[in-house]
Amino acid sequence: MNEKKQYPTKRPFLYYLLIFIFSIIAVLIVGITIGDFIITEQNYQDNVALLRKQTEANIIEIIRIVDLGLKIFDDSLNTEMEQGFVIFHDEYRKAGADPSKIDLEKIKRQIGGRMELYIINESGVVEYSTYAPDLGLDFKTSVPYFYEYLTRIRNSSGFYPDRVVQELSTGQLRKFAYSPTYDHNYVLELGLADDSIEAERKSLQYRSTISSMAENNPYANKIRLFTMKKRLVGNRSFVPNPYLDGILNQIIEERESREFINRQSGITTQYLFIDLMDDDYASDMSLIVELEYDNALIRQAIDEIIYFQLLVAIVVLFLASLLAIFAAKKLTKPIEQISDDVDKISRGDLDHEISPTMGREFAVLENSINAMLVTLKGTIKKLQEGEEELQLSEKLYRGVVESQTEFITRFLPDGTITFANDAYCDYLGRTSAEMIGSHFKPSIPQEDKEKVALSTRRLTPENHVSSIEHRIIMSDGQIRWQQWNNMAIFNAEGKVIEYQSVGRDITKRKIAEEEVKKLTDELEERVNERTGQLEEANRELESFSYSVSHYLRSPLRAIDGFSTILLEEYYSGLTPDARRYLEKIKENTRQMSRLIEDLLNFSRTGRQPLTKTTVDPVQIARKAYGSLRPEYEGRFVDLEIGYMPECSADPSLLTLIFSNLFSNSLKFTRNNEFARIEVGSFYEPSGVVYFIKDNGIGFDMKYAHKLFGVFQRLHDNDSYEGTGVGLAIVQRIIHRHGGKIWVHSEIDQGTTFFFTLDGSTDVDS
Amino acid sequence: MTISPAGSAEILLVEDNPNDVELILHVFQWCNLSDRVHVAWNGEEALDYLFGSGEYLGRELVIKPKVILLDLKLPKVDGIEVLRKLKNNTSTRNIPVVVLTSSSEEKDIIESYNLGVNSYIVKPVQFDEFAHVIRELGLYWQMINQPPLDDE
Repeated sequence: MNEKKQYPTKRPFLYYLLIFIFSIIAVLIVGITIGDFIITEQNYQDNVALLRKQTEANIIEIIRIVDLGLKIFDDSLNTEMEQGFVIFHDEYRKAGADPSKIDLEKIKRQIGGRMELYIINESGVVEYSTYAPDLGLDFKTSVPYFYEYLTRIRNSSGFYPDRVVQELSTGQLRKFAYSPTYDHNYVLELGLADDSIEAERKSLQYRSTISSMAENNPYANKIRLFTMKKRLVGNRSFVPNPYLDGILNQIIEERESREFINRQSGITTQYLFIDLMDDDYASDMSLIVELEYDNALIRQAIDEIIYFQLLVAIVVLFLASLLAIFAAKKLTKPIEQISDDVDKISRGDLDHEISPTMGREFAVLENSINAMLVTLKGTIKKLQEGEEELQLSEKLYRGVVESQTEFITRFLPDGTITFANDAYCDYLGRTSAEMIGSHFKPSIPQEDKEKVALSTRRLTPENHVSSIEHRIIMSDGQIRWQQWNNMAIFNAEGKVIEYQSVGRDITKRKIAEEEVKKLTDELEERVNERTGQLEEANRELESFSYSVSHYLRSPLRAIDGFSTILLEEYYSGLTPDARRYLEKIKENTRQMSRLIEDLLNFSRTGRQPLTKTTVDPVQIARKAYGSLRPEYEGRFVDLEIGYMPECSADPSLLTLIFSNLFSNSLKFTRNNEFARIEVGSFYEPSGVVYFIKDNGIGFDMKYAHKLFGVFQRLHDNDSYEGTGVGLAIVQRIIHRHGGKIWVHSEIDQGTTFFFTLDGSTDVDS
Repeated sequence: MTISPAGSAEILLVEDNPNDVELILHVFQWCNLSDRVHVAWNGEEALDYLFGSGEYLGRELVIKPKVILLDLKLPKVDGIEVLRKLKNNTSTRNIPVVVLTSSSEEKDIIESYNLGVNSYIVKPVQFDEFAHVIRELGLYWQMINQPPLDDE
């Protein structure tokens, strides 16, 4: 217990506190960084867009201003050209409206030589011209809208100046003007071109101005200007590739600005359509500005912002972590302090003081622990006292268990012995140390093994105790008997956790039991043998008495028979005395015959099988009395048959009981003036007792024991005839029913017979 | 002792007790029947008489007794055995048998009736009663010995 305590693999509180603080800071910083970045990026994008808008607005503004300037310049040439037309028209009129008759070179010289002359017919074809490259130029096919414009001019009148434009054929800058002939057959055209125009125009170039505008926007890395004739301003030989040509055609047709974003190259191309169309002039001076913005530059700038912000975030995180470690250490220090103190106390140093630390909560904790310590010390003291008592009681218990002569052992379900008392160890000739923890099992004879295994296996939580007697083979080969009371100890799941067995050596008892059994068996055998002999003797006796009775009848019959024949057939030859003697002989044979009859009945009642049924003794008594009519006819006999419950008996034998007892009573009340016979029953705790009571002559109770013997008579034969067999029969029947008969009598007062019909009644007679 | 010629007896009395034989014959004399009686003194003799064997070898078996009075307690072959043999043989099965015995044993009575005896009579000790029974038997014999109706 004093070893360093093994704590579960848990990290110190400081660790969790640090992770917690760090997590909060990290979440805050990451949140702030992301938010800041999103806002910054948005602002940046907005700024870029604004810059672009401004750039584009400026370009449009400048182009418009330049165009205005060019228009003023272009119009300044109109006067000269109007004067030229006056001569041109005069010459046409002089030629009689036939252009072929006009000398165009002469006119060219007349009007200063700076202007070229053209005559365009109804079909829009330059029919005559001083300028050879344009001769035969067909506007109708090459510039359809311009042909329509020319047709409108041809059908009107006046002067129609155009702007300074590039020639279709050579691209040279030239100021054109148109005027219809008076007969509206042709349109006369003048085209002014010289170095001054070229020079003037160049001083008012869009390109340089626009380029300088674009340079102000760091993301616009390219700018180009296209005319409505898809010509690149500043480069006459430029021919657009098919892609650009398609884009330009679309913009020219729609007259709208367009933007193309190339995701791959990260370049956005803006085509600004600047509408400079003026209905006063034939040519459309509108321009298309192509601006290329490089998005990669924007991306790069944004990335720089990200890197910077990340750097700041990491630095802040690092600093915050340092701060967190510091704060956490500061916070956990008192906890560690208390923890150390408590640990010391837990190892048994109950007198260890809790060091004071900062913070009110810790002070409370400290007080509580100190209070707990006081209580703990008190409890420990009580426990120690209790333990002393327990040890004393344990010692006493051990003394009882160890000094037991009974064997006490405990073992686990796998057979491991967890306890064995001295008595058991001594019995097996082993030490307690050898037994406990071992799987020792005494050797059990094969025929007892299953029984022993079953005695523990069949134990259940409901039926957790069993008892068994079995043999073991001792180490010296001696076989001894043991008796064990096994008890299984179950856990909450109903599984056996341990067995406890208390046993004793019962070899002596077993030997004694076997001895007793042997003796009992012998005795039983002897009794059976004796019984058999007795039964055999009894049977022989019965058979003998039957035969005797039977064979006695024949001579009797002969005596009576021949006496009768003598009396009847030789009557006259007999003296009166002889006749009287013969009568006496006959009388004695009758007596003898009755005796034999009774003897036969007596013998028969012993051998006849008993057939018991439920009978009503009242009815049987009434029937039995009725059969004795000759014995009571002409006499006054008061018979009273009282209550007798139904019983189980052989009906014919029960009838015999009643008739014999009635006969007896009738005989011994013969001399009473008023004979009275009472039959009835009463309850004894042990069962029903029946009785027959008369008011006859009675007898002296000292002869009572002779009453039920065969041929036993208590009265002289002259006054009370009888064979002395009747009561013997009654007793025999009652005994065969498992009952008992006894009598009570007083001389001149009467006799009462009592009897029961089952063995349960045990009454002294 | 043969009262009637062996061949013409109509009542076969099987009885070993000479007193009883004399008393029975005395009573039969009163009814003039004594000359119709043949006495067999034991069971063996009774069977010999009935089946023509032993001393009765060659007896005319066509003439059968009209009734047999049979005692049960007999030397050599007892009455029950005689009865069983009689009743198991087709030629003697129809002869009426009256058991006349001093035994009132239920066992004997039941066995006799089971074997097909016609009547079972216990010999009374008193001669008056005994004579009465024998006379009754005589009357019984006279009844079964009546000639057929067409002989009238």
